Amino acid sequence: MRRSSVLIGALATASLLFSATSSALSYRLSETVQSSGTTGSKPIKFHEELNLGDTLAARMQALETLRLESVAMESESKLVLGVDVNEAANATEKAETQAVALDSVRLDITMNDGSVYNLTEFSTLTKALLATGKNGAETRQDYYTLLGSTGSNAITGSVFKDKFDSTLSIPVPENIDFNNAVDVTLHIDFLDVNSKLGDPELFYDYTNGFEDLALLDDADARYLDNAAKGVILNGDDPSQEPIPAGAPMVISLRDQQTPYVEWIGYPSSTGYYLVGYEDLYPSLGDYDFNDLTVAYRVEVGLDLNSQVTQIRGEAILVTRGAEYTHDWHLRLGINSGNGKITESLYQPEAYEFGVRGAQVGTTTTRNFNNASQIDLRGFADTKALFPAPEGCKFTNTPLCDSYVQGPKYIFNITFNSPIDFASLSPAPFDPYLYVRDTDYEIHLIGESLAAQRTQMGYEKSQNADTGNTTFADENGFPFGMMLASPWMPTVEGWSMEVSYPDFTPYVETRGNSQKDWYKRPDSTKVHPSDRFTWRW
Amino acid sequence: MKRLLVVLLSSFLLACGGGGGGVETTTYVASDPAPTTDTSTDTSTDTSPTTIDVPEDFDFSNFHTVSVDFTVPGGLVGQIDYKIAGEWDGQVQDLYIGRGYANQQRTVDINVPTTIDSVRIEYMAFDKNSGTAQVSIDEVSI
Repeated sequence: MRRSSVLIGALATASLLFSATSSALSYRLSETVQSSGTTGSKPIKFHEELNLGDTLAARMQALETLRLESVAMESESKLVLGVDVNEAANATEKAETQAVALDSVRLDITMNDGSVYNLTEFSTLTKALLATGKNGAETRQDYYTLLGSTGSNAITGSVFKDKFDSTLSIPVPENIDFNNAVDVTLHIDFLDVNSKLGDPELFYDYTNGFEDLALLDDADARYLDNAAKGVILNGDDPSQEPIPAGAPMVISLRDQQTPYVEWIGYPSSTGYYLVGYEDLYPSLGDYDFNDLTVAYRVEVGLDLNSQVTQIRGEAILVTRGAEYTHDWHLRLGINSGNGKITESLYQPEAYEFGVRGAQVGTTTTRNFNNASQIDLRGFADTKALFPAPEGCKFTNTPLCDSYVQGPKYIFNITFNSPIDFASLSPAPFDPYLYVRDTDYEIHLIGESLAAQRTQMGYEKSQNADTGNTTFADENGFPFGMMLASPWMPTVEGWSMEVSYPDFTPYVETRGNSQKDWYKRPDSTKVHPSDRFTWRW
Repeated sequence: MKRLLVVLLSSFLLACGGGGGGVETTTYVASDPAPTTDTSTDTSTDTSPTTIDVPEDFDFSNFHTVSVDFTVPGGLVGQIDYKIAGEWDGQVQDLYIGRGYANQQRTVDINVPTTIDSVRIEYMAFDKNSGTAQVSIDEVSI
């Protein structure tokens, strides 16, 4: 599949025609589309925009020059805006693909003779089927969307090509000459989607504070249209096969077919597994499973042949009720594969609209060749990474008034050649702990030791040398346990059976009764969910 | 059946935490010396032993893997996207997002909490030529 540039044909002729008229430039606007309620709406007044010119006449001349250029180059009278999609990279939105949906766009033009035009037609190059407000999934209909990414692979030296993502075109009647306009005001309303429906609504919701805008000349607009940021990762390089960015359910209106990737979320694209550990292994612990508690999820990307092309995921530290310090790992079996692992670590940082990540160190990238296992060390030295708040001995386990949100680890594995889905080890994979103080690995019941630790550059554990290769105690009780949300951490020292009274019948009936035991804690022995929210 | 005996902590043994000098035996749980800053809970009222009979090979996972078989409805036209979603923890959880064609048969393995007994499959089709959108939703027991 190859991409072709938009409107390559006839451009040479058109540019000759246009050069006789004037030369257009792109303009970054000083105003942004900012939040108004949930959808974002703030008028953009071109007639007052200093970046377009010092005087009204200069500003209107700039608009008219851009309009005439589009007539000359594309035989369409229009203005093209560039939008820097600037959404929070959480939930299903990632740094490499994020989006908003457009409810309405209106360009109001007042001419010097008092006549007024209200232009409500607009278009972008992508759509999605979405439900609005509190409507259900069955009411979905198509809306134009804007996709983008954080940062840019290409450094072209042009702020318009590098910073901005998607284009928004507004047809302008040919009889309108902006030189005769006195007021040109743009209104953009983002769609208020029902994000409770998950994707695609969750992906296209409007969550952040502002989206930067630019008025684009034809060259910059065509560059962004071909780059398809947020849709493909490498659109800046037409010589390469396009790599899908992972946006869900994009309807591309481009002529050429866009690549696509399917996603399976473990346990879902927005939910998390919770895993708790007892770190005194092989000795018994207090069974509160809060020595380290980690939330994590994994998403597997498949091509249209159902082969795995990519695995991505994230993890968050929830509790650390331990004197020991640990490394937390996630191990995936793949039989054999070559590829690249990209990893980043973030500490939470409060900001106006919630919590975002402040990166710790830099993103690391490493290759793997003929690997049968991928052993990711998500968190190294948990005691240093996740210290107790002031006045508390441990982190989020004593009944202190202080709770802290833990660091977040993000990984992305891309395979040079797709691997068989069947070769991937089954969910929930192998989340395991390495206790630095004792040199023991602690896995879920049934998992084996991480045999390739030293090959991956990690410390050798003493499990094999001491014969500690299984992970249930003599009574059949685990040292690591999978838990489901809304499980909340137990208060320090209370065993699971006491803090969750239905846990015992759940286990004793082999899980055939009280399956939702974690929904009914003894509220005096678990941390309150209304005061402690670990996810961010 | 194996049997686990856990003796609850008395108040002076509170706040065991993880490693770091704990005293352990195979029959009851002891702890670090009681810390001075985090002992706000009161465990002194219940020090009786409790027991759990642990079934052989019980995996404690609270999740299970389920195969979902489905056929994309034949009446849909154009680009057809679909997703499988479950609901737990008070929110819709997207398990699988895919793209296919009318009458396509698919099987997808999902890994969900054992409390979930059904999932929804939502189909979304859009025909670029006519600008027509179609939506179809199935509820599937698992």
